[in-house]
Amino acid sequence: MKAGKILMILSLFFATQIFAQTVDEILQKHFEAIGQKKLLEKGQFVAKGKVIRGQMEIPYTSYHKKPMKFKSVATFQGMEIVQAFDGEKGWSINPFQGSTKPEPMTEEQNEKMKIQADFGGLFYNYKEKGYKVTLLGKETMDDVDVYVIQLVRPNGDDIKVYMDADNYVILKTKFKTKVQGVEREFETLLSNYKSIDGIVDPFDIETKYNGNTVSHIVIDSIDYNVDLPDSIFVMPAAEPSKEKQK
Amino acid sequence: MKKILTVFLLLLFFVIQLNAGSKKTKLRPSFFGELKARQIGPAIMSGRISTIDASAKNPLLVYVGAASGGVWRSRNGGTTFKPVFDDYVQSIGAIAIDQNHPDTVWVGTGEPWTRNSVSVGNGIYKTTNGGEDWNFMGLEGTDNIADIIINPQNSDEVFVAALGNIWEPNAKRGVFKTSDGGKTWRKVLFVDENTGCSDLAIDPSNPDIIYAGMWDYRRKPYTFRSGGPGSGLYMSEDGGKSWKKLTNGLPEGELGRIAVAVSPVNPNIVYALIEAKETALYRSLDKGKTWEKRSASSIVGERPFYFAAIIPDPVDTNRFYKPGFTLYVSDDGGYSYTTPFVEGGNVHSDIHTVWVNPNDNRHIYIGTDGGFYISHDKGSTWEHAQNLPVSQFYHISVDNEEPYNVYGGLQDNGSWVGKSKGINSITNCDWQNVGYGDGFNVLPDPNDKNILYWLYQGGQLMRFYKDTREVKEIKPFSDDPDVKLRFNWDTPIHFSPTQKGVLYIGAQFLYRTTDRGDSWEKISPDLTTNDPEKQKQEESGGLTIDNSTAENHCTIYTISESPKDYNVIWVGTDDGNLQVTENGGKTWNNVIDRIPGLPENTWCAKVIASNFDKNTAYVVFDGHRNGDKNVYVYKTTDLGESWMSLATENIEGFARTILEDPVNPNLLFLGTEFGLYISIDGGEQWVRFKNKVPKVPIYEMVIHPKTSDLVLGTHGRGVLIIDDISPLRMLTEDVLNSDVKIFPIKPYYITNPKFAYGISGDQEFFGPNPPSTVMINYYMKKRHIFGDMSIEIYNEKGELVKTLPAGKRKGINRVAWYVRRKPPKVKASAPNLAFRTAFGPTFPPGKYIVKIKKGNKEYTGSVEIKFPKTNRYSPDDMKLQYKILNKAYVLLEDISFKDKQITNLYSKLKDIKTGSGVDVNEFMNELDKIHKTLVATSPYRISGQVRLAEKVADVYAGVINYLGKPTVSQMDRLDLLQNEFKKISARADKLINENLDKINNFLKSKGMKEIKLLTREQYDKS
Repeated sequence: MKAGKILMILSLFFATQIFAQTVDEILQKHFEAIGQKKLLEKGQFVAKGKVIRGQMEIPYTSYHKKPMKFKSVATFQGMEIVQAFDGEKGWSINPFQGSTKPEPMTEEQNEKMKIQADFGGLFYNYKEKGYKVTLLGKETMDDVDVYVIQLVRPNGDDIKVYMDADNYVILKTKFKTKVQGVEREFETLLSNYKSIDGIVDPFDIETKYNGNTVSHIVIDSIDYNVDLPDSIFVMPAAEPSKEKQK
Repeated sequence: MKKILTVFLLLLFFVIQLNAGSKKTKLRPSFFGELKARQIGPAIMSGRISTIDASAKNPLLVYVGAASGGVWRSRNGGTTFKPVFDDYVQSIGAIAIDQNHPDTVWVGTGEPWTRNSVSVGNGIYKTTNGGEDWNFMGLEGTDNIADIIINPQNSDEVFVAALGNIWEPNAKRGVFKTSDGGKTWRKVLFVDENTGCSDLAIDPSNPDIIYAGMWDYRRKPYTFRSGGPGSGLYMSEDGGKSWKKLTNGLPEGELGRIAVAVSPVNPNIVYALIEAKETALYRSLDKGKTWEKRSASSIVGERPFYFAAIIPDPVDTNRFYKPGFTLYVSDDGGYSYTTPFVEGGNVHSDIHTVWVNPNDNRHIYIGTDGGFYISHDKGSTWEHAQNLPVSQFYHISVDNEEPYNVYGGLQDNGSWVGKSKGINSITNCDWQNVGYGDGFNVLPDPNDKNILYWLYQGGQLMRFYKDTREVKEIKPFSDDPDVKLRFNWDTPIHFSPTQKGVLYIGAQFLYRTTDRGDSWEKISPDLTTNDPEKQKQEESGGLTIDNSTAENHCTIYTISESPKDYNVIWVGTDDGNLQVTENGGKTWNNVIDRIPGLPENTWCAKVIASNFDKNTAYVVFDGHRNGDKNVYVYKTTDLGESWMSLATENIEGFARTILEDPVNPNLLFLGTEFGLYISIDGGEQWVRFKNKVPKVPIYEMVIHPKTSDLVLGTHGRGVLIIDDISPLRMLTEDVLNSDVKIFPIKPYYITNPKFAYGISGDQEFFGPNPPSTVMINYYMKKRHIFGDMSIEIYNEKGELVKTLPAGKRKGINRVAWYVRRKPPKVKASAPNLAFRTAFGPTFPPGKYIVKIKKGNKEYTGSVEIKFPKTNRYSPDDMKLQYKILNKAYVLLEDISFKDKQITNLYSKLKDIKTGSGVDVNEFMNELDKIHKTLVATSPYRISGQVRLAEKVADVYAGVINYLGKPTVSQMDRLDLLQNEFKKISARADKLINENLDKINNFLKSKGMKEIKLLTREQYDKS
C-alpha cells in the first residue's frame, strides 16, 4: 500500500514534469530537431517526387522560396498541372479541368495555398500569423509517445499535430477544414524522415480521408542549393492556347 | 526519505524479477496494426432507433441514437450519416442538443425500451464540438437513461431520467440534476431501489417546473413486471428541490410506466400516459393540478414498456403523436386516435421516438424497430433512411460460395442473406430478405444450395426454398400430450460438422433430424433445471400481460457437436446447465458443478467444441440478466471434468460468445457486450480489437474456411468483416520480436474491374469490398520514422517492375499492390484517347519477388500471379489476349511518340526563316497533316474525331476487358493498324530526313543552334 502511494507520487512528479513543458518549448525542440535555422538560412529549395493516387503515379517538382512562394509542376500523360502561390495570391494551370491557361485561384483555394507556401512551416512565427497554438496533451499513438498540438487558423482551419515526444518530428496531422462550406477532415501520416544539409524532412507523406488513402507523396530528392528567381512564381500573362495558335 | 527510496528500489527489483520470469511479450492493441473491419451492412432494413434529437434552428442537424448501434450525426437532414460515438458504449437511451449552443450535445447511454434483448449503458457523455470529441460526465451504474432535459434558460442545468439497472434492484436510479454542466450531480428524486424515472418534461415558460414519470418495474430472465407501488407521476416547482406526487384525477392503485409531456404552445396543458389496470391517457389544463381521463383505448395501452411516449405538436395544442405498434396521432387532445398516414405510411412497426420540427410541424423524424424515417407532410408519407447499418443480429453463418454469402436473423427484421463482396461494393441490393418475424439462426443446407433453414421467435423453424420462396414449417412436436416443448426466444439450431446434413434443435430436449426436419429424434431427457417457478410466462408483464415467447425459460440455448467426434455433443441452457454426451445422446453429464467461480443459474450463452481435440471445449456464461456483469469464459481439456477460467481483468462488458480459430488453437476470439477481444496465447491474455469495431455487442463470430475472414454478427452494427486474419495465426514470439516479418502472400488471380450501376444518390448505403489485388502483409516491431522504407517488386528475370510506399506502423501492415502496369502513354489532350486507355494491362502471370527495403536492410517474400480459375477460356486463350493487348499497348506508345516527335519539331520550326532552300511553311503543313492523321486534335471528348491512335485505342479498350481470346476482327484490325502506322511513320521519317538536314546545314552555316529531333529515350523519360 505504502509502496503504491510512493509510486503514485513519483508518477505524479513525472506528470507535472511533462506538463511543465510549454508548447513553445516543445516547438523550440521541434525546430532544433528538423534544422529550422538551416532551412531559413537556405531560404529556398526544389523537391522532386511523385504523387500516387490509386493506380496513378504522377511525377512532380515543387519549388519553395522564403517567405511565402511556392510552385508545383506535376506531369501527367505529358501535360503539366501547375499550382503556384506568388506570396500573395495563388494560380493554377489544370488542363484536366478544361483549361491550359493559367487561372487565378479562389479565396478558399488561396487560404489552402498559404499553408502549402509557408516556407518556415505552420508553427514558425505562429503568433504573428494569427494562429492559435495549444498543447492538448501527451498521448500514445500505436505505442509511440506523442505531443498533441492544436493549431487554429483565423479562417477556422483546425490542425492537430501529433509530434513524436522523443524525436520531436511530426508523425501525423489531422486537418479539419471547410470545402465550399462543408467540413472535411484529412489525416496525414509522415515518415521516411531524412536529413539533407542538416535539414530534416519527411520523404513519405500519406493522406487519408475516412481511413482510406487518397494520396501518397513520395519524395525522391530535395535540393537546397538552388537559386530560384521570383518570376517563376508569378502568374504568366494569359496567352491563347496552343491549339488555337496552330 | 531513505526509507522511501529503499521501498522503491525493492519494488523496482520485484518488477524486474517479474519481467524476467515471464519472457512473453505483452499483447497490445497496436499489434493488430492495419487489420481492420469493414462494414457490409445491412442498412436496407436498418435497426431499432431509440432516440432522436435535432437542432431547432437548423433541423438538418440531427442526431440519431440506436438501441445498440451508437450515435449517428447527419448535417443534411438524413441524406448521409456519420457514426460519432464508436469509442463508447453503443446502447443509446437519450440524446439532447443544447438548443442555445447546438455544438453541445448530451448522450445518455442504455436503451430505455426494456425488451428482453435490451443492451446496457454506462452513464452520460457530453460533446462541446458537435460530436467530434466526447467527455464522460458520470452517472456510471445508471445503466439505462430514458430522458435528458436541458434547462432552456440555463445550459449548465440538466435533468436526467435514470431507469437504472433493468435486471436487479439498486439505488442508482431516479432523477439526477447537475447545475454545473455535468461536473457534479445530485439525485433529486428517488423513490426506491425498484423504481426508475421513465420520462421527464419541463415547462418551457418556467423551467423550475419539472414533471417526472416514475416507474416501478423489473425484468428477469424468465419474467417481466411492469408496475408496482413505486410508480407515480411527480412534479417539482422549484427546479427539482422538492417534489409532490400528482394524484388529482389520476388512477389509484399500482401504476406502471408513465410518459409525460408539456405542450410547447400552452404550458398549462400537460399530457400523461399512465399504465395501470386500465391504461389511459390523461390531460391537465392547469399545470398538473387536476387531470381528466381522455382515453383508455387499446391504442394508448399498447405495450407501455416499449412505447410509452407523448410528443405534442408545436402548433396545435390538441394534437400530439403517440408511438405504438404504429404511429398514432390525436387531434382532439387525446380523445381519439388515428394514424397520420394519409397517402402513405409504409413504415416499420414499433415506433419509439418522434421529433417534430418546432418551426415547421410538417417536418417530422421518427425512430422505429426498422430505422429512421423522415416526413415532410405532417406524417402523411415517409422516406426511409436506408443508410444506417444498425441492424441487430442474433446469429450469423456463411456458405462456401465465391464470394461467400453471410446469413443471419435480426431483431424484428426477419432473416437475411447478404454478399461478402458485391460488384464494386456491397449495396442494399446485395441483401435479400428470406424470413419474417424476429430472425435468429439462418443456416444454408450443406447438401442443397436452394435450401435455407431459419426460425422466428420461440422455435418456429422453417425450411425455405430460395427459388420459389416457399416455406415448410418443420419444428418438432412433443410426443407427450402433457408435456409442452419449451423453445427459447432465440432457439438454437446446429449443423453437425461431421455428418453432412444432420441438424439439431434444442427445446428442453435435444432433437436431431437426418431428413431435413421431416422427422425428429429426441436424443436427450430434459437438460434444463425444469424449474416450474420459471415457467409462468402467461403471467408475465405485470399490469400489461406480455407473453411473446421473449421470456420462455428453462430451454436449451446453445449446441455444439465436436468436429472430432459425432458422438460428443455439448449443450448449454438458459437456466445455467452445461451438459455433454459422449455417446450421441444416450447418456448426458451435467458438468455445471465442475466450473469454478460461476454463480448458480447463470445463462450459458455459448459452448463450442474444439476443432482440434474431442475432449476440449470452450464455454461462455452471461449473467447480466441476473444483474451480474462479470466475464465468464472457461476451457476444459477433459470433457468437462475440470475447467480453467480464461477471463482477465481487462475485459470490459460481459461475454456473449467465443470462437476458436480452425488453424491455430491458441488464437481465440471473444465477443462481449462491449466489442471484440482477441487472444493469441490460448486465452492467457486478451486485448480489445478496436480497428473499426465499435464497442458493440458481438453475438456470433465465424471464420470463413477458405478466405480466413473473421465475420462478426453484431447486435447493433450489422455484419463486420475483418478480411484474412491469417497473419494473426503467425504472431509467434519470434514474429513479435522481429524488426520486419513478411507473412506468406496469397496468390493473386488476375481480375478485371467490373461495371455496376451506382448513381442512386448519396443516401444509399454501400459497404467496401475486400481488396481484389495482392495484399502484402508484414509485421513490424516498431514504427518506422527515420530513413528510407519502401517495397519493391521484381519479376522472375530480376527486373524491378514496381516500387510501392511501405506501411510504417507498428504491428501488422497491409500494403496493396494493384497488379497493373502504367497505362500506355498517350497524348493527354486527346480526351477520348486518354479515357479509353486509362488502365494498363496486368503484369503477366509468374512468380514475383517482394522486397521490403528498410534503411539498409532487405526483407524478402514472394507472390504468385495466376490466370483466373475458369472454364470459360483456356490458358492459351488468356495468353493470346495478353499478347494482343500488349501489342496494342506498344503500338499506342509508338504512335504517341511519333506524334510527339512531329509536334515537337513543328514548334521548333516556327521561328525558322527561309534561306535553307526548304519551304518551311510547306514542311510544317506536311508535318501537321501527319500529326492530324495520327491523333485527334479536338480537346472535346465527344468530338467524334477518330484518328489512328483512337482506332488502336478502340481495339485496346475492347481487348482489355475480357480475359479470354480476342475476336478475330480485333486481331485483324490491329494488324491493319500496325501496317498503317508503319506507312505513316515511314512517310514522316522521309519527310523529316529530306528537310531537316537542309535546315540544320543552314542553321549551322549561320552559326545557329541545330534543331534536334526528340529521341525515344527522351520521350520515355518525359
